[in-house]
Amino acid sequence: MTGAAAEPGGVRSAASRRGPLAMEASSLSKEFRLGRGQVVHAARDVSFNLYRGAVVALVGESGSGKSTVAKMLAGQERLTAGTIRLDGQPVDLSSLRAFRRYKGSVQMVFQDPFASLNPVHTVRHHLERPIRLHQGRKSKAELRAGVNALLEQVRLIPAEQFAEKYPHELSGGQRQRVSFARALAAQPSVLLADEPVSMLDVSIRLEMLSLLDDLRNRLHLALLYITHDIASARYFADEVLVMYAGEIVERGPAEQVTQQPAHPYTQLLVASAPDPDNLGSTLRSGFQASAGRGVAVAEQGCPFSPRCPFADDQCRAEDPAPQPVSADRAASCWHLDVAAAAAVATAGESEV
Amino acid sequence: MNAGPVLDIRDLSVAYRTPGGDVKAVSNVSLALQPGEIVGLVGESGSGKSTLAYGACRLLRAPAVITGGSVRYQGRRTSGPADILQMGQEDLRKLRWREIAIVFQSAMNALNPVLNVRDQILDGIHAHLRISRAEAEAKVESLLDLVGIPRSRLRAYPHELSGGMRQRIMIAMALAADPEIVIMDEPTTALDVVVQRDILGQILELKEGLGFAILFITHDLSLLLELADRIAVMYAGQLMELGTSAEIQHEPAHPYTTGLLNSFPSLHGPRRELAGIPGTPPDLRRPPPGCPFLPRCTFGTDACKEVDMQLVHVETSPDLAHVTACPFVLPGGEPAGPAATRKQAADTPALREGSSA
Amino acid sequence: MTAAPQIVVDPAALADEPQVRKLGQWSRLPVKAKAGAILLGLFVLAGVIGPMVAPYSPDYQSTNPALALHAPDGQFLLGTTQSGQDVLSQLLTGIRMTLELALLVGVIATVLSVVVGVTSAFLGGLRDEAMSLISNVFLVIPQLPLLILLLGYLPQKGQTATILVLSLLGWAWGARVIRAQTLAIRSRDFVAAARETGESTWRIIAVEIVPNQVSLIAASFVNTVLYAIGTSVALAFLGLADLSSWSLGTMLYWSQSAQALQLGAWWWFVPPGLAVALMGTGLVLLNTGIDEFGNPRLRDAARAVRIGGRRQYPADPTPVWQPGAQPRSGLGRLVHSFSRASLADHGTAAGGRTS
Repeated sequence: MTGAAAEPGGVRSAASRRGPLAMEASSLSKEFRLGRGQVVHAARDVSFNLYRGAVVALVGESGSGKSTVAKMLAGQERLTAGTIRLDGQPVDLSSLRAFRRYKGSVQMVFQDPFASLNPVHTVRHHLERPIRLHQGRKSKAELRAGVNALLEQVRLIPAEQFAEKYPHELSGGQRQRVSFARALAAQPSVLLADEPVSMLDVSIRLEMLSLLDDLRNRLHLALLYITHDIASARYFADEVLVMYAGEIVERGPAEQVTQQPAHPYTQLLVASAPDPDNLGSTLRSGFQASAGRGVAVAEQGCPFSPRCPFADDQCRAEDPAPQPVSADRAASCWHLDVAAAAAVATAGESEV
Repeated sequence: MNAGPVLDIRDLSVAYRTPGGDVKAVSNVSLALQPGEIVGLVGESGSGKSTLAYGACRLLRAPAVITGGSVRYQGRRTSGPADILQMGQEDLRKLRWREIAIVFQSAMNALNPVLNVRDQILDGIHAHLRISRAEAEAKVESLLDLVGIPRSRLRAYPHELSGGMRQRIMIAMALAADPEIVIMDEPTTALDVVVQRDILGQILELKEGLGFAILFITHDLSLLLELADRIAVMYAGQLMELGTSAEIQHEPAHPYTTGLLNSFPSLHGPRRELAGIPGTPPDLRRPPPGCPFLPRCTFGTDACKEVDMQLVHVETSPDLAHVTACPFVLPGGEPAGPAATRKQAADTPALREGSSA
Repeated sequence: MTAAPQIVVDPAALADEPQVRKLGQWSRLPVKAKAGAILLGLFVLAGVIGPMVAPYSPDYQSTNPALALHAPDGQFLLGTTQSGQDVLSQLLTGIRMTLELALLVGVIATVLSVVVGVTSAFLGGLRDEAMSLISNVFLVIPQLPLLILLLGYLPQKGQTATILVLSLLGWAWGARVIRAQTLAIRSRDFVAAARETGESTWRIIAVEIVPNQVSLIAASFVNTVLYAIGTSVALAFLGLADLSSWSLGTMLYWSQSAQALQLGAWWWFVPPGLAVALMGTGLVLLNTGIDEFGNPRLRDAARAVRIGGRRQYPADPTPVWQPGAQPRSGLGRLVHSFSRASLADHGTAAGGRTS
């Protein structure tokens, strides 16, 4: 371990209370070249830390770059710039052996349980391979016991029966449990979950999240939870990072970010979530009509400025650096005071 | 003008013929849609909500079979009520799109990738309406204005548009013939929250202006609570509960509805205790006797195996239209009732209908 | 967009069952595939036991002029050639020879196309470009002239030479198709998930990707066998084969050179010609069957389903089944849903029917 961890965004992570530092992502950037000199910045200067036993949620809409960040951390996508450290050591993926060793610590769960299991193989095949690759030589009986233990861990019981099934014989939730089990077979310390429940029915999402939460607790995993659903992040995460156009625009403790969003984009996200206790208020008021339309991203300046109700010339000219809001919160906005005042005003209105 | 429902589904049953026997995807469902009303149809995947909607329009292909019931349609422009189940192919062709339009979940799959926006909509108009080319072109422009797509995008191809834009075009196409009913099958599920919000707001606005009725299919109850006038909760091919959004939210009378209400985290207000619904739906090839929700129900008793799944009025509700398939009394509005009350309810299976009068 | 699209809600079609296991279940094969398989099975049987049951040696020449160009009778079921050889014995030997050649070419060329197709798609970049270029070159060069040239100049014209040359020229089409499908599979999440567990590239190809291509590889194999039969017969017919051996092609060559057609000895050239045609038919049937199998859309698009005795086409509205409404029809009655033909007869009479 190298001394004290850097503090991304200049603030202490709300997740750091849970356990020791597991993974550091510093200034990750990813550019895709489209030809004709066009470059897409999928991620720009993204920094955050993951801690053992803590959940960090990365929230954003599609195209915000959140999945690219996960792929970079998983070693499935090359970095354009930046460094990833695991337990204080820079990550080395130069050979298959090094990559395999890294996979023994960092695992990713995919979004679509219908695509992430190979239709020609049984559940047993899906679990035996990672056990063999990551848990050393095993006898047949040990392998069998290992598969059963994994299935029981994700509550697919009776394990012996589930092991023989093919993916098409399982429901979406059961398939996603197999995906979890496969990731756990490598005995990782860091789990990257890329929208693990968004393809599932609302009624089983909660069960899956509580399973993930339980696994995080029992196995002391550092969990990165990627989602577009900021409400689930409120219940599930310690720290929330909000991403827009490849940048982290706000970070802080989950409850605070979702209840008093500082950045105008976070405010928009929160306002867009259905609110059953305040029937039809935002739907009918047309509050975000101007902000919702068009997904334009500014070429320069603050990426959110084309949609932002508070944008002025400064926003369009210069990209704001993270501004501390409190000891564990920061937001990248020039006009945090204006946004905060506006948020208080609308909150008051809806209470009247 | 006729004050009756535009669409009156009675005791509709739909099955899929498979070698292993009939899968009873929808059993004896009755649901009426009043003019200008939004009815939300909510349920898990496989609950039969889409089968019900498409079956009622005869859009399912064999081996799906309608095994019983009637579906009466009564529009402003049609003379008397007509039973869709008795209609011939030609009548159905006239009915669809002109009277009942559909907005599908995946706009990308439903749009033709080699036609631009303008030709896409023109094509649809020419196939169903007999109007001149100039009129049709004017109609395309007014439709795009209606759904808020700038005219500069008239020549854009589907792949050049964002998901939200594509879904708006689907809505524009559905509204081209000024239909009486629009069936929306998870129209916003694939979209980001902000865009989803915007489109829902627009749907509401359009509905106010044009006066069509909406049958909105989704698995997301939180969205319906805001959007719909009435909500029908479906499980294992049967209706579990039907009532106004407010009734469903504040006085849920079926344990399944309670389960759904407790399964989404809310952003606003204090943190609630979340529960979810453990377990999986039953195999519809061999439906269990009585209440299909019994294996997953926290209140289930042996009496539930003999429930006949008739919708009965919720006695605690002043609204006579609030009905549930669970004949046992849940303590009003409380998600989890004390076991004692449940026992009592099970011992004296008093149907609400009888005791409420 | 004309009418609202039909919704496909066929629970059986939605489950993506592994092809391997489905291909193994005879009862679930399409009818076409079954017919093709039976036809080919008969030929394989003839090829295996044929030489054993052949009544005479195919080479045996009779000097008895009465036995030359003898029409079929009880002794010579398919007659004799000009030099008094038994046509049936030649046919039975020839089927084996031709089948052997075609199957070997099929195996070698398919292995080549799988190796080239899958690796080029999986490696990508320059290596992919190079491999694609090579297979495109093989696709565009005129095959027959090249074959004639190659076989004409080879020191020996035996079966082995033909097999090698045909295999070398026959893999390109399959490689292209398999490459395209590999590209599609490669982007599926389960491949990324296999990499996530730390599998090596070669293992991902062999264990995760190739088993998903069984039906395509089978189709490619069948196609190559078809090509090998056609080409080898054509080459032999042109005299570019070992003319001392008996294959369907050399039989045709000898009957042609002896002017069997002009002599009216139909029994000499019809049996080998018919055998080639029937083998081809069997292979084509098998191939379309496999195609429909690997591509459920193709299968469902054409499939009419029988509900209560009536054929339902995919474009028809949902059938309504009301048991007991009209007991006379025995199985109940479909209130609406005429097949297309009867719709045309009745015009728009549908509105008048009520139950």
